[in-house]
Formats: sequence, structure tokens, C-alpha cells
Amino acid sequence: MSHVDDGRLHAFLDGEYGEREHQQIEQHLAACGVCRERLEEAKALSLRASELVATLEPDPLHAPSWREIEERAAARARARPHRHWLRPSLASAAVIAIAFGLGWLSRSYVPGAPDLARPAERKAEMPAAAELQADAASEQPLARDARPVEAEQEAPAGRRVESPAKAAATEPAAAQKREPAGGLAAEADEADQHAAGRSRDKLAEPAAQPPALATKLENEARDAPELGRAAEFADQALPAADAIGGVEARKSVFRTVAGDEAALERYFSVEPAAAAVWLGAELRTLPDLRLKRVQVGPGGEAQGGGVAGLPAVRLVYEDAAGHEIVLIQQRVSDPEASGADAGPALIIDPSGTRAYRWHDGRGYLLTLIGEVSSDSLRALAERVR
Amino acid sequence: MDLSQVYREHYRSLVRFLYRRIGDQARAEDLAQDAFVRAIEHQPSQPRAWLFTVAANLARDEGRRESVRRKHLTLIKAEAEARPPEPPPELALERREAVRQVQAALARLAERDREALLLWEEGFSYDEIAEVLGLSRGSIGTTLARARTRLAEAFDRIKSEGSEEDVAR
Repeated sequence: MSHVDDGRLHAFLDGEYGEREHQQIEQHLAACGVCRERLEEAKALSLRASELVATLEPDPLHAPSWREIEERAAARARARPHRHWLRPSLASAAVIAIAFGLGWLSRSYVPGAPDLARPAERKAEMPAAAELQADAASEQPLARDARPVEAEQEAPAGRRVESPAKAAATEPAAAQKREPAGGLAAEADEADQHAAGRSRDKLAEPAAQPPALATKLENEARDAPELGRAAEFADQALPAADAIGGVEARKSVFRTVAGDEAALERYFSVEPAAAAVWLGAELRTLPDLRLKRVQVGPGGEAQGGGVAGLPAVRLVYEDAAGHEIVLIQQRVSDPEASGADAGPALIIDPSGTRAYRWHDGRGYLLTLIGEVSSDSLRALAERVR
Repeated sequence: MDLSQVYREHYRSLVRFLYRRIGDQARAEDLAQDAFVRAIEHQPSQPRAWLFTVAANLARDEGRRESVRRKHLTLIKAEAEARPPEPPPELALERREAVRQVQAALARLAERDREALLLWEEGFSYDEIAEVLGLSRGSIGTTLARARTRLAEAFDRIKSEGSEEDVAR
């Protein structure tokens, strides 16, 4: 038997071997003076390390009663919105899908409006950039008709790329819960919180107001053509290059006719089956994580990108440490035509949130978002199936 | 398993683990309580390993957050007001210096080595350490051997640096 390596010596000392292996090492030690000497050194080292670590002994602890811990857990649970009502039946999900579908259709059939929902086809039909600009210019008055006063002021705003933190705050789901990892919500940057607060103030927060959901859905269906026209306006306000699919510039283009920013980037909770219908494909999922909710929306979420105007599904998970992990997926048969970046991309938000986006080669554009390390995101990306 | 019993048995150990990891007792207590709050929500089947996994993650997050520095200052100030009277100044100074040196030595270890060592000192078996850190059982002996060696070396170096500074003064 060759000499016992350090790892095995320490495992031997720590009593971590079974009888057979322990005996083998003992036999070797009996015959090997070098290893006996090393064993003594390892003993001394182990003892010294324990003594050093023991130096760091906390003072008498403040230990709240178990009742207090339970109360904190209950308060935390109460602080989260009840989501039972957010899981509508398949029929309700269908209403949502129809509502969005109406929006898409109406937008698609407005003369001159580019069909965002079919970028690949759109590319084939896409006129030259100059023509598009000319078309856009010719359609501009129509949009102004729809929004007589705000149009000129709102058009530049439609191009504004919000900071990820602010953009996240404009999302209804984010308004429900954007707790940073470790329950350290209070530690979020004050400025960001202030910005988020302002944005939230403007939000209708449809997802957090149960009674308003039905009304919201009805409004959605009724206002879909309006939304379509508003989106058309926003499209035309963008330069042709952006209209082709510049992801960055296409963030935040969804707005109501009234210019209400609350309408930006909406997602609605549905059952997974409805989400698959919305996506038009099987859902990609993350195994072994707790799925908290499934949402559908028009895509283009600012944080982490994604292609605006393409049906998107958000799967919101929670890992064992309580980190919220969001998997956004869109069907993109032709990455180039969609305007999405071809290669994997890591996006780091100043708040610490990271996003990892990639094409999986199976026609999905996937984005993982979470307040976890970049390595963890990449590892999670490999587990998506 | 009854979580209240786990709390009674392991709260102190969890705080100690976190305190050794992040060096701030008040914050360590906060995070330990937070881990138990989460345990109530998740009802893990192996609460002890689960709690230390969550605690290790929380400690890593803590290290990443720049804003924590500001909070640290506030907490340390509050802690100083809330804690019992300090021991005599010379003893306190000596102890503080020793604590500082060990903390600095621990900080020089790789994160995985440090966590393995601290978990071992909290009475975790190799199997449990492997589970918490996502390592193979066979690698724990090597990880601990390296952690112990580097801790002792780093401590000696820090101490000698301190002595040189004293001589220079």
C-alpha cells in the first residue's frame, strides 16, 4: 500500500471510515513510520484549527421564542398575495389568450403596422428601411389622431430603455413580490426603491387586486384594438432599425391610448396547459425547483431582454434557499429574424440580479433571471428541459 | 420532525456558524431566524442540513450585498448599546485582536473550504457536509485537510504581520 494521502489521513482521524477501511489504514500506519509521523502532524493541525475556530464564539445569544418565529413566518405569508384566484380555470386562461390574440390580430391588420407576432414572416415581408420609415411617417398622423395631445410627447418616451430595476417594478408580478434573496428586501438600494415605488404608484396592479381581474380581462378584450393601435403608434415612433427587432429599443413600447405606463409589459397568471397554448409549444421547465406561478404575456420584459411582441411565458420558481428564479421562454424559429442576440448573454443588473439568455437550438429563446451567482444561472440553464 | 425542537437544538449552532462565516453576530442572528422562518414555509424533510444550506446561501448573499456594509455599521452600533458590559479593556483588546486575526485568516480560505471547516466544527459528518455543499463524500477529507492547513498558515502569517507592525511602531 502506498502512503496514505492527506485527505484519507484526515478522514481517518475524523472517524469517517468504515471498519474495513479503518483497519487497512491502521495496518499501513503500523508498518509506515512516515505516515505515522504525518498522522501526528495531522492531529496537531486538526486540533489547532478547531482551537482557532473556537476563538470565534458569539456572545450570549438573543433567541426569540419559537412563537415569535412562527409569527414572522405567518406575517411573511400574509405579505405575499393570495394566488389562488390568480390561477384561473382553463376557460379563464382562454379568455386571456383570446384577449391578447385580439390585440395581436388587430395590430396586425391595421394598415402599415408591422406584425410583431411573426417576426420571421415579417422579415420576409419587410420593406427596405427607407420604405418603412416612409410608411411610418405616413402613418404618424393616424396615430396622432388616436392620441391627439400626448402623441408627440409620448413618442420619445416610448423609446426610453428603463433601468432593469425600474422596469421590473413596472411589472404586475413584480409588484406582487420582488423579494431579494435572503429576505433582504429592506436592503435594496433606496434610490431604486424610490423609483420602484413611484412606478408602482402608477400601476393599476391588476394581478394584486382580485376583484379587478374580471374587469381587467373584460377591459382587455374591449380595449385590445386600442392597445393594438397604441402599439402601432409606438412601433412607428421607433426608427426602422429598431422596428426590425432591436430588443433594447423595443422595451416598454406597450402603452395604452391614454399613454398610461401601467399598461407596460403585462403578464397574467394561468395554468401551465394554457401557457403552452399561449406559447404554441411545449413548455421548457426547470426540474427540482418549486414552481410558484406560470404567467403569459407579450414578451419584451426589460430585465434580461426577450423579444417584444412575441408570446412569452414566465415560469416563476423558488429554490431551496428562497431565491426566486424566473424562466422566460419564447418561440423564436429564426434568432436573426427575431433580432435577439444569437449567442448566450449574461446580463448583470446593478441591483445584483443576473439574467442569462440563450437560444437552445430547438427554437426557444430562454432567459433565466435570479438573484443568484452567474455560475448558478449557467448551471440552472443546463438543467432546463 | 418538529421544527420547534430543531430550533431549540440547533439555533445556537446555526448562529455560531453564521457568525463565524460573516463576523457580525446581530446579523448572524437575523439570518438564522430568517432561515427558520423559511423552514416553516418549506417544511424540509431534513431540517438541519436544509437550515445550514439556506444559512450558507444567505451568508454568501450577504457577502455580495454592498448595501450590507451600511447596515453593518448601524447594527454594530445598536449591538454595542444592547450588549452587556465589556470585560476589562486589556482583556477585551486581546480578545478582539485574536478574533480579528482568526476572522482574517478564515477570510483567506476558499469559500468551500471555509464552509466545510465550519460545518465540521458544528458537528456535521462528512456525509452531511457533502450534502450541504454539493460535494462528493470522498472529497471532504481532502477539503478539510486543505482548509485546516491554510487556516493555520494564514493565521501564522497574519500574526507575524501584526508583530512586525508592532515592532515598527
